[in-house]
Amino acid sequence: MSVTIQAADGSGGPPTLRDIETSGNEFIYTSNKLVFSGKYPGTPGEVLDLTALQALIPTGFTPVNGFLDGNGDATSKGGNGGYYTLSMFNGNPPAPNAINANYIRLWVAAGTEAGTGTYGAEALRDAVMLNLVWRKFS
Amino acid sequence: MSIAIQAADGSGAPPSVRDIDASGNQFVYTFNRLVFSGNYVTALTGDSLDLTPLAAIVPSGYTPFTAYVEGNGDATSQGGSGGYYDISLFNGNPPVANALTGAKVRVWAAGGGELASGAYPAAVLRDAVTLCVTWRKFQ
Repeated sequence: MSVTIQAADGSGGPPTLRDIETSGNEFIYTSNKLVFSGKYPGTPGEVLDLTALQALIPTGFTPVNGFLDGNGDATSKGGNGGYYTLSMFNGNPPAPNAINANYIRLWVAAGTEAGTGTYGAEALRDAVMLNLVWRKFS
Repeated sequence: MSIAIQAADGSGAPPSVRDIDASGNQFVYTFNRLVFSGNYVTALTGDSLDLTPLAAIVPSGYTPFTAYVEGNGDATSQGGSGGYYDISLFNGNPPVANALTGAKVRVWAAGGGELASGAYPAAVLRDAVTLCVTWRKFQ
């Protein structure tokens, strides 16, 4: 199981300051490509460690919110109606997860979770973008 | 039925100017936590969402252009278990903007079944739901 956070433009490089929009007066926006490898573990999902991204954010806070979108072709997970969910909170009322303990779940078009096992080609060929909103100031 | 609009970071405080990104040259973006309570009623095509408190702190005072509602809760929450939320800001054909008091949020399970009428379930109550809205900056 593994998901790697990369530069926004799909170059394969690690996330950098070029993936961060800091011009906002209250929020910072990050956009990064995600690349899956290995096996999907099933519920509660693939672990997403945001430590490397957080290190680039001045406040060092956990994200306010985020979403994942697949923009691949018609044979990709996103392109054929599947989707991704991002869990960054837990409990009631929701409290932020640890920065290294966020989760991604994969779903097919009919709303069934992807099976456990090696990631299918539809996920591997997808262009998956992680879009996060962070507080700019403490 | 009730949806409260709160500060972005989940503190439970009311929305404030700290939840508005007004640095763009044409658009203003707001991010706020939504907290559900009471009952969901399918016949009403979703729970009512009153955007008046947000509009009051957006300079143009216009109705929003577009918006989305995203759940980032854990695996037993509505969003984390594959469900999702839909927000309606327009009506008719061609679409015209609803009154600020007339926005609607509908709740869906994975696979597209609408949440049944009745008290909001734990999956919704424990979700971390953010309302993201785009507004005109100037008239």
